[in-house]
Amino acid sequence: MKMLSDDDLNLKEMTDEELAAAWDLWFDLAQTTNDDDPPYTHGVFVNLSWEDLALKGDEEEVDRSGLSMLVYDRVSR
Amino acid sequence: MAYAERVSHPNLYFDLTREFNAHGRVALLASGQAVVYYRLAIMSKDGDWIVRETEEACRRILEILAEHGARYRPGAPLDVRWLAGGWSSHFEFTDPRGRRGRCDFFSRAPRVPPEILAALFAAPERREELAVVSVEALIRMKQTQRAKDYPVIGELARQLVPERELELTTDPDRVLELASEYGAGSQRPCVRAARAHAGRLPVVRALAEEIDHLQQQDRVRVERFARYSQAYLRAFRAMNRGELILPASHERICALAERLLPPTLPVEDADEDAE
Repeated sequence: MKMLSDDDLNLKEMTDEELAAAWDLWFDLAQTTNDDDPPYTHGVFVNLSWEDLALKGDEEEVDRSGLSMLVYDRVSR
Repeated sequence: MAYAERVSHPNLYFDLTREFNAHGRVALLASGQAVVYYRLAIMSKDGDWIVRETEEACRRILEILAEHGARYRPGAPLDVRWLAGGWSSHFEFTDPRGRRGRCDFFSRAPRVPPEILAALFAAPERREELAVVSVEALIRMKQTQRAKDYPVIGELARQLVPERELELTTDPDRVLELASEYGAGSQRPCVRAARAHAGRLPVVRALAEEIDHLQQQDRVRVERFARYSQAYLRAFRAMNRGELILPASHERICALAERLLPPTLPVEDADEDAE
């Protein structure tokens, strides 16, 4: 039994152009979930959450880059 | 015809890989985009690379990232001192179409023996070919704590010769199919169970135990790095976005790491480090 679906595995039959176009479309769509992504998907920090990246006792809202919004706003101004 | 000429919307991580390696092989595409390269699944919107562990390689990659307007994300400096200790470096940039790209780098790919890594970097370079980790190295790297990596391992293993597939697959049906012909010398409990002809269930159980063991090993490995990076990450986060933009940020991040991030984990943890 195959462990991935035919929809996943049909990449094998695509030309380079088709694969690139499929990836490009998927990547465009995947941008909509950027704000919900975990901070890391690979590397040695992969278990850290947004909460872990917040300063201890820090009540500022933390943005998705791991930097406090307060700091960012101050710099932006 | 070159890939970029054949393809109107090239994968931006494939393009970055070509840029990194334009003057010699310094970075091998790995993880999720390597899975795309091997045409198994589109499942990651980040790019991950194994870096050649040299100052020149780090300098080259930092230059390219700076040209793309990248900035450091919380992580170790892209510097051989920390890469050699197993740390990872992380960057983010916005592409010309406003899309977020994330780039992760490490040189000590977990579970991949150093001699295999050295061979990958030493392999003859062909202009047309993308620098990508081998299927077997990719499988080793995919033996993480994440459940979703294991079905991918099963499919990747199908691209290997039967003897190697049997040693690495996570698919009980493939173990049952291959064990009698190719499994005489295997030490894997799932292969031994298949060769004992005790039915399918012992094979499934042995595989489940093996996968759970791999997941726990990876979890322990990663937790140790997290423990030794707390003070550094706290200080890192105190910097503003402008301070993180390449190229100027690199020296600043190195200086911070020199104070707060041990390049190698303490000796008492060294045994587990070797994974």
